[in-house]
Amino acid sequence: MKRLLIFTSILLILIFIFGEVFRGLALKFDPNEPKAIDVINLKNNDYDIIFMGNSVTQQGINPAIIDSLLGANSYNMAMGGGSIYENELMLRNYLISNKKPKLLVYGMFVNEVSWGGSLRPTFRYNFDKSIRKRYKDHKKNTSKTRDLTTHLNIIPLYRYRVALEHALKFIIDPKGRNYTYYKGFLRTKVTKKVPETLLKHQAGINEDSYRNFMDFAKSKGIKTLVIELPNSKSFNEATTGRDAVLQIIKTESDDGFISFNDNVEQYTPEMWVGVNHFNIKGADKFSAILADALRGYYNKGRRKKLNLK
Amino acid sequence: MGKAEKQSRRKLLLAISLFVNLGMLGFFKYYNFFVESFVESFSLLSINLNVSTLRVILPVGISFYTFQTLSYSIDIFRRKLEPTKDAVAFFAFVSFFPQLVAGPIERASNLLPQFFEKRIMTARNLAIGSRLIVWGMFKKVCVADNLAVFVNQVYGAPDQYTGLVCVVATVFFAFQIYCDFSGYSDIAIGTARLLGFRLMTNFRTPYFSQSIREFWGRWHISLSTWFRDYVYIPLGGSRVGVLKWQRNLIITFLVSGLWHGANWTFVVWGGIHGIANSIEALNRKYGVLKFNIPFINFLYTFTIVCISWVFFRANNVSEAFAFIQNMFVPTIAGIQNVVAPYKLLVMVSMLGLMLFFEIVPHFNFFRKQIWKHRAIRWSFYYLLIILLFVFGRTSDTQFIYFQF
Repeated sequence: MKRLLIFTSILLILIFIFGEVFRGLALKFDPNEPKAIDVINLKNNDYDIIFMGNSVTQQGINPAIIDSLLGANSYNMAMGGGSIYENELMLRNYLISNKKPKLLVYGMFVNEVSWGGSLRPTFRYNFDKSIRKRYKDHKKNTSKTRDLTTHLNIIPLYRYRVALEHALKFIIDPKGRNYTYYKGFLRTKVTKKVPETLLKHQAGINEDSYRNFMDFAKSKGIKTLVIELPNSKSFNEATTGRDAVLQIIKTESDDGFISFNDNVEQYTPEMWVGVNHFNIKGADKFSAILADALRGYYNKGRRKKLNLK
Repeated sequence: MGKAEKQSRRKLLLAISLFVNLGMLGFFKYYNFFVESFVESFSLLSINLNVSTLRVILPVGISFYTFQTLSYSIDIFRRKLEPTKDAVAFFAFVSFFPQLVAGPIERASNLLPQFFEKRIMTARNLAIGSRLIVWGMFKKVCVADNLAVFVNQVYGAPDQYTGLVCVVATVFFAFQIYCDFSGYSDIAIGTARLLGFRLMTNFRTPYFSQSIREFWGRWHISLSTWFRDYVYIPLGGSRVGVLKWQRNLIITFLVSGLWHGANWTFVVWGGIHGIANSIEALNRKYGVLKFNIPFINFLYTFTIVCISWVFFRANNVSEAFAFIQNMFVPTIAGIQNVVAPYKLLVMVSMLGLMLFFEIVPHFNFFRKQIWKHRAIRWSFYYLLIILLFVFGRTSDTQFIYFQF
């Protein structure tokens, strides 16, 4: 029995140490973790426009261009792999300590059906207490059974395990992880060739999450524009059922919906860093087009000097 | 049956027992299969039959506990076992929870007497049981479930992949099913050991076998010995003429295939093993081909086993044939389209670790010089537990053998 106690004690110490190591790895190599902490901890800000969505939005909209062309103060809150539900909680968390934005632009990705209701545990543990409680209640109401991962996520080693994946990805492809952030916008100069053909996939959207998000924004009196960012030609060709999803998005978006996914040939091959992600060249071009389209929704008249630091 | 003296009465009671046990299995597991096959065979003759099928859920583990009760009845009929008068012990034997859903299929002669023994929780049982559970968990959630990502992707869209991708998916499936099933067995044996019960060994590094015959001596041992004792030997085994001997072998494997599932793919899977066993048996008898190069023998065995797994994994026989055809398309491209390089690295690393730790205990040097140090043993188990946290897949994955 004494030996069992020694074994268990050493094991617990090891789990704790590795947990801390993985937390450190997450902050260094996980592109989402440091930004998530920044976004979750935003306080006393008064952004005119905030952008939300997933990595497509995070890498596709440069606030520097938007600010310069519209004279606004914007922030890109989109997170890589961010689900609609996660974005709703992000917005709730943001509104606790910051002023509501004049315009919210949501970059809708039409392939979110399976992960529309998910929330990353590393984010959850950083949220305000009230948001954490909301998530707990939501899980209780929506899940028939409590899955094992809910309990395991209490342990940092398990919660931050994805950090190792990011660290290894960095080792395998250090250039591919070459990026910096500017007001939440992930900017990278890397170019990756888009394959000419991709495996077919079905478009989809988690309607409940989407509806809840829009209802919440509406209840807070936030004007919300939903947009579809450009995807590469081959990605669009491989997507089936997109029209039906767009119809759902349009129906629920009270303040408007714009798709920028129809004239994608204007984005040259050196502007892409994946099948639907822009590098800085693509993002700057798209942001200018977006700014133009936003004039009808946001017009403050104040102009700022272009700042691409 | 135990009390009956007359052979005819004993036979009648055995027949009733077989009828009830196999009837339940047949009703839940095979009724739809035979009805559908019957209707399909008539549709080939342009005769459309309208026979309704059943909509019942297959009781979990039915194939396993039915075989346990069958072996109990047959052993009593053969007077190899005294019937128990303790109903609680009998039903505890049939429904013993650690191995209820996926084995090992225990014999009453091994497990039943253990219910009457006094069991004390000892540090030794606790240590052995925990080690087996951790090792089984590692094989299941770190190896099998990670490999499943690749396998499901390729077998989910078989027409989209060719060449090396199909070969890798099949080899991965071979290890996925091994780690999934043997992982479950280890957890079951370990859990039983915590309670003071000793269950039989179910796997002994089967993929290192030098022949299909040897493979079946190391793979799902509780099932293969069951079929040997209750199907193959009653049919006459090898103590009959050559033709009947081969017939017995093939019938045993076909039935074994059908036991796995009500689908022709499992029958073909059993058939491949039956034919390979039969050819090996004839070769042993007549000595036509003599291979004594272990690596060639291993390669031959592993190839046959992998090809048979294609039928086991595919949705239907024609899909399996198409998949095998795709395997021979000479192309090595496309692996990067199946999973991200990092995930492939994790899969290969977990598989490599598992193989390493399965192989090294076979070396005397390792057992006597290295494993004797407690620090090394403990480090090994710490490593496994940390790997469980980091690489274990904890959602949406069932044990494959739960469906049987």
